[in-house]
Amino acid sequence: MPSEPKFDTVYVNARRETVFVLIVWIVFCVWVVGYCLSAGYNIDPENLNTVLGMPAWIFWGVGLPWVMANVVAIYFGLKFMADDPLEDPPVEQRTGKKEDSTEEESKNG
Amino acid sequence: MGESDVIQAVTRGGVSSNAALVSFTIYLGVVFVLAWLAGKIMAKREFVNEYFLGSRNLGTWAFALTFAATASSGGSFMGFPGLIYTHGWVLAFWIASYMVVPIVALALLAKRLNQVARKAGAVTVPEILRERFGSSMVGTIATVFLLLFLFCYLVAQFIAGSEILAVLFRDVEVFKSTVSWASEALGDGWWNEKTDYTVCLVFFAFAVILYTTYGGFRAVVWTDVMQGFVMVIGVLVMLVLVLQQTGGLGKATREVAKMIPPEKGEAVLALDAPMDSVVEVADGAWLAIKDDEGEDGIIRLGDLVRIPAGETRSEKVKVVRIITPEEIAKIKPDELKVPVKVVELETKPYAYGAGKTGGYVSGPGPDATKSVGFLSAGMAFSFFVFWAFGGAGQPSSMVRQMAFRDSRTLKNSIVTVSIYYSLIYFTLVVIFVCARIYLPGRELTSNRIMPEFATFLTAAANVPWLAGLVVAAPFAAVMSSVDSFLLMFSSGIVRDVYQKQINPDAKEKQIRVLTYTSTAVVGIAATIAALNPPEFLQTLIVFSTSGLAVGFLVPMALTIYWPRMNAAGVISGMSGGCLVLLALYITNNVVNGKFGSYQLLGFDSFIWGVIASAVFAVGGALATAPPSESLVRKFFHQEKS
Repeated sequence: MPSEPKFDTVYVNARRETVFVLIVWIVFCVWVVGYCLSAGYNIDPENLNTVLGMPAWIFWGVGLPWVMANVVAIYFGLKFMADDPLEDPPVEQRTGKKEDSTEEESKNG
Repeated sequence: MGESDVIQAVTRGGVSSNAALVSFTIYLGVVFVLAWLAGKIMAKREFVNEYFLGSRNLGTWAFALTFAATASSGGSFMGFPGLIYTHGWVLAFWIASYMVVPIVALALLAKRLNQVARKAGAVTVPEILRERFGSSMVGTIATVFLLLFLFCYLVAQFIAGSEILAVLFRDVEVFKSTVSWASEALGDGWWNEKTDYTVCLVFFAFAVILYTTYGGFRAVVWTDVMQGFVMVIGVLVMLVLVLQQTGGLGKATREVAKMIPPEKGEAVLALDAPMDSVVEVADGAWLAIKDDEGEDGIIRLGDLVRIPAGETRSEKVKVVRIITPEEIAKIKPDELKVPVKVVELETKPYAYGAGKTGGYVSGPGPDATKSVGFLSAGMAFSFFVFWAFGGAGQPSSMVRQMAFRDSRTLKNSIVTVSIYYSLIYFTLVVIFVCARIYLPGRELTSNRIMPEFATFLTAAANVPWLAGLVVAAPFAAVMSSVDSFLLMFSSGIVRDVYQKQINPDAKEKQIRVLTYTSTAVVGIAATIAALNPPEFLQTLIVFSTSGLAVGFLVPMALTIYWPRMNAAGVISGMSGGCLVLLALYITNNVVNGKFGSYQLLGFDSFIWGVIASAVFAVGGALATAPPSESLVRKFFHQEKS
């Protein structure tokens, strides 16, 4: 009996990264939506607190999580995500014409 | 009718200048140089891959900024500031999902999508589906969906671009004489409702069609990179100017907290006796009124008012009536050259927040029509889903995800886009909350608040030339979306319709001619459709964005992550999701009498569309035969070396 074929590494890694991203989204959704709905609605302007000039509920419910989301994005981008090769199929298969894919892209970084 | 026959009772105070025109022209010049350079590179490369995907070779800056700039559209820089202005600080909560948009939109599909597109040799989104399932039917249906929604989106972007230009140029002499010449030349008709807008539309369309057609994807990406920088610099310059002007954000927030929402309505202007000439009162004019109790009040005109020669009354005109006492005391009515009275004034309080202070610093935010306020709990959740997943599901972002060079590029781009979005979106909220203080009564023309406030700020700081750069920011946002969408449209026609269905053996020269022609024709068609613009720009953009995301997000995610997915699943997911979305928009038309999202159980139509799309996609796939083993092996399993 032939052995089960192995899944592609890019597929396996991308699936793992997708699960991480969905968890990140849920955490921030609970924080932002939960906090803002409970602390930021129908505020009496006489009792308005501000942090860094913005209403306090905006600071704790949007500003701070925004900073934290950037920290997570930096960790995810620089550490968590695997550096998988995404090689092309043979060029002829796509277009029938030879192309040089690595030259002169210095303008785009 | 000549100018001499018109008495202008109030003229509009100009804030733009020729300096703005000069810096804007320089900006546009750079765009054309980039397109020309891209065109030169294209001549050396294989046409289809280069024209539509830049030979799949985008580096970090190119990929990150083209992704970010394409996603920031006319909605971000016209509709969004208008909403902040109208509803206040709650818009920070409304847009908050953008904190996770980069990570969700770039990590959910990008790496795998790029790999599958390479394996399939695909340059368009429908082509991925076609190759992944070996079904031309799924490719055709995806193309139809794509073209349908893209066209709505294109039209909305053309409108936004033209409105920005109309505000920027409205007090420039060359522009005014062009408008008066065009007004005579075009005559009366549906195509010429507002001549200044029509002139701007033609100019905008000409510029964007020209550089997109000539330079292809690479020109679009390079201009996106430049436009990305223009956007962020423009926004940051505005932030500095606004904080200088207000004396700190805390002070501005406290001032906004004291504001009471205005009232919107209609009025008729009247003369004591008929005159021999037409009497005009400019839109935006402030007129004093007395209310029923004899108290002083003030209204702002939403439209230009004309009282015909020999008559004493105008037609009904839209007005905004200021309610906040501090503002009434502060705003000086315009001086009238002819005595014009306000009669038959009828205004309506806001459905939520009327007569109360604090609405602009608190949720759900004041709203003229919705009794639950601007952002109900259900809608707050809906938008947190919509921005992140709606963005990920956009075929325009998928196309970019097919074009980056390697995983390292993607990793760096997630970081770059995260920082970029933080600088733009939160900053916009701060800026336009403050705009309420300096430009009151703009509720009827809030779509124009961005260019108007930019020109106001730069004039107040005595740096009018900066207005060109700052106003170029929203214009850049629109251009960078329009060019991408134009290109997607023509790639749909050329690659998915002509090359796949009509003439698979087409020569490069034929493809090249058809590509140029279709890009130009689509651009011209969008221009014609945008001649008489609908009122709700933001709604049109949201509808098209929702349609594209509902149609493509779940079917594409399952296509690349679920080996059991098949063509039937994609077709039923796309159709089911879009039909539910359309049904909810039609329901809103029937129930509430206007085109917009129907909020079933308090949630946006998008949520229901995505749920329906997922149910139909999975159901459709499981109810039909699994895909062929060879295709699953090709796209999911390691290739034997």
